[in-house]
Amino acid sequence: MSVQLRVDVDGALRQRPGLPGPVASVLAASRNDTLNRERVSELLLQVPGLAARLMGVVNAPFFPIGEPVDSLASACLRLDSPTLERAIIASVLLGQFPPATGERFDRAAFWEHSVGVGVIAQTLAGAIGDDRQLAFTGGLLHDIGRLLLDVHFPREFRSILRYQRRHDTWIRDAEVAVLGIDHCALGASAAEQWNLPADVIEVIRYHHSPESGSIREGATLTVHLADVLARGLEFGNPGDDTIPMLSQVAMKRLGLNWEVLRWALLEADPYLPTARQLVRSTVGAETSVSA
Amino acid sequence: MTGAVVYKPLAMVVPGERLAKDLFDEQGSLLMNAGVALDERTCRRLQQVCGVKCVPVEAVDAAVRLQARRAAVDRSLEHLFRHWRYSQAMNHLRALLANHRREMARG
Repeated sequence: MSVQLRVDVDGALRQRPGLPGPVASVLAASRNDTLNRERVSELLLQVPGLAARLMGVVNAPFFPIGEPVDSLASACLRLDSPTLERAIIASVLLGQFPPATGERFDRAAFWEHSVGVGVIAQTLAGAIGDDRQLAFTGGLLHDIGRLLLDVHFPREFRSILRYQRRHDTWIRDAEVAVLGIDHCALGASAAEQWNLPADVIEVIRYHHSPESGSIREGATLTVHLADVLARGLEFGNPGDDTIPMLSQVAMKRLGLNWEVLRWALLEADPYLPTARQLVRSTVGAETSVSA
Repeated sequence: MTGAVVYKPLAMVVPGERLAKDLFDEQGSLLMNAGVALDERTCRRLQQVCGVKCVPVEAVDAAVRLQARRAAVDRSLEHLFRHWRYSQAMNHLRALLANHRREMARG
């Protein structure tokens, strides 16, 4: 039976606190090609903990930038605009939603799943010569809508979790049954409000609809596959204990086969402990968004 | 099982290992009974919420441990794929994951 609380997502999101001012400024600066990189560096330093998180992300072995960078200034000077923007987006959002007290949703495990998806997605992207950084960032943020449900819609999210347990269903089906929308739509709406790049928004919106004709980015398909694989590895916890259908269409569109998926799992495996470490060292920093 | 007890940092506990003794907090309140199988979530909560760093677990020999890990992988995949028993593609995926996880469990 459907509970159908149904919320006006866009209206509700507008009424919720967005990203804190300095964080929004940093994101805007990362997109501004004309802005002096020293100014970007100054803005990064204004957000507590952000510089350290950014260094953690850009120097992670699964965030491909070539040689490691040894300082914030050199990261800002050396990285090209899309790379710096994606690194900043990843660093900003990893710090915005720290683990909460209480039982309903394990945010640390959620982030572990998300980083794991990023690691596997960038491995798959590397195998087909696609954009690895976009695959990683998209993987990291693909389920951000679920986190927003936990943070901004706690009452509705409790109903979703109750529905999911009672009906032993995929959590996305529970979201639709209870709210009338899923975390993909919610996350994409929020990402639009935060002015995230269109390619990242596409990943968030369509990673569970890999057959959609609106998909332009290979990353949307690699993140779909990586999400299923990470669930199969039980790396972290996306919020439920089921596995969604792996799309054969996504595999065909990317030209992948089972052997490549097997290879990708082997390739990604050594990086997963580092991914877990990145979550431990980044999630939990100071934040202005609270439940 | 050998009957021996091994103290392990929580980060080193392999899911499925069993607590060898009752676990108490600093005030002497019982946190967990001996014999409970530890999983990742329990270990994380013991560390983050209760401040526990090491736990006594039942020592097992290598062959038994490997067999237990494989059985745990099979059980968890059985649960994870419970809605997809008749999908050929998902059965293929399940076999791929099972092989990979068994290989990784071998270490």
